[in-house]
Amino acid sequence: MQVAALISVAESTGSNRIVPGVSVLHPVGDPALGAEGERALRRALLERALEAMSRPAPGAGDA
Amino acid sequence: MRVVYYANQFFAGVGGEEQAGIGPVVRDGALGPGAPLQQLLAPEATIVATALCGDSYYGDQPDAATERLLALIRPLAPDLALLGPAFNSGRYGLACARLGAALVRELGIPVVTGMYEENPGLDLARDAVAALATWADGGPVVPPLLVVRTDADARAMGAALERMAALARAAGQGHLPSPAEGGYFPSGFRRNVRQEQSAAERAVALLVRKLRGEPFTTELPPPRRERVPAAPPVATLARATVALVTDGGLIVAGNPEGMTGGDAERWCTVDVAGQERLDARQEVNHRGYDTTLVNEDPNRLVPLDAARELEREGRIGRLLPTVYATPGCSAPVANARRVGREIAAALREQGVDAAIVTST
Repeated sequence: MQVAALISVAESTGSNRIVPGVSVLHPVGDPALGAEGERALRRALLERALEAMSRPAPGAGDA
Repeated sequence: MRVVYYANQFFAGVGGEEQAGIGPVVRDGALGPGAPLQQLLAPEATIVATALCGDSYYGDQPDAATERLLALIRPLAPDLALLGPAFNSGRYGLACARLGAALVRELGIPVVTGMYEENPGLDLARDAVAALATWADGGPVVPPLLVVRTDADARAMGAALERMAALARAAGQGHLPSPAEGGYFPSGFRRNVRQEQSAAERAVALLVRKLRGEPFTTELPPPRRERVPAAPPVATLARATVALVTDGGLIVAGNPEGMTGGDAERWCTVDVAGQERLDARQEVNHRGYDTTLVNEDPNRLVPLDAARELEREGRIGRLLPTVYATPGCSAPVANARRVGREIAAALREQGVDAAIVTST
């Protein structure tokens, strides 16, 4: 699955499990948060990614 | 005009799925839908022969089948070929696209076939047209592999055949209608056409129609959304092997592989065995965005530290100790697709169950 800041771009190319990233410049980081804050942020994003991987893709039917 | 018609084993009347393995054959005259096509084309054109092949044979040996059919069709000296229509039948559509492309390329004749918009043969036909196109007098010379739009199944046969025959007649006369008029899929190439009104005038007129709720026709349809079949969910995360992938340009520090900052053709592996987080052994090389912050801390691009936590805690079974990376800078979709397929094949070989792609 994909972590991406530009969701509409990801969607238009057929990506079907997308977790919103923080920024083009740092998809899974945020300099404003400090080191510990960033680790926690990454952990939270990955938890959402695991959630997305464990479920059927949104809107997925039988091809 | 001499015409050759092509059908699969079913439409040619040989048999159903049990005959799908038969090899290429040519018979005299117009078989199956060739017969009504003949009536629609008379008297200007005659279907001199029907070529046929089993869908499974074509699917299993596409190159051999195409070569054999070319060898059978060439001596018939056709001026045009009509294939299918395949509606939404995937193997049949792929066969029509492959054979059609080969006939255009090798015999230099127009080819008219028909498919439903979701037929995988349509993408193949479009790719073939793109590959065969040339450039002359400042415009594209689009190879005449014409795919008529049809409904999904053969109940729409009558309408499909009428469109195919009309387009064949027009192609024979050298006057192709526009895709909208002729009911066929556009090739994707654009031609410059002089307009009476300036673009500004046309844009405002279009907007006014839209605001009034009147019907309007866009000059430039937005790109279609790709359909990619979604993978089924991971059965058990705690036993899954997960890989980290990025298009943000992660590389081994010092760039031993000589990756450029935007080469859309290449990808590389970054070994992270034994590392709990990305550090000075990795850097980021990508000319499409400001990499200052991810070079300060590459974990902001590829979350190795958090992924290792998940692995230690048993939330996932195993993290692949290799990151797959490409600098996805202005990558044409076709290139990105190829890179994605190659990386996916490498991941699959290593027993990876799921990948997390972090994108800039």
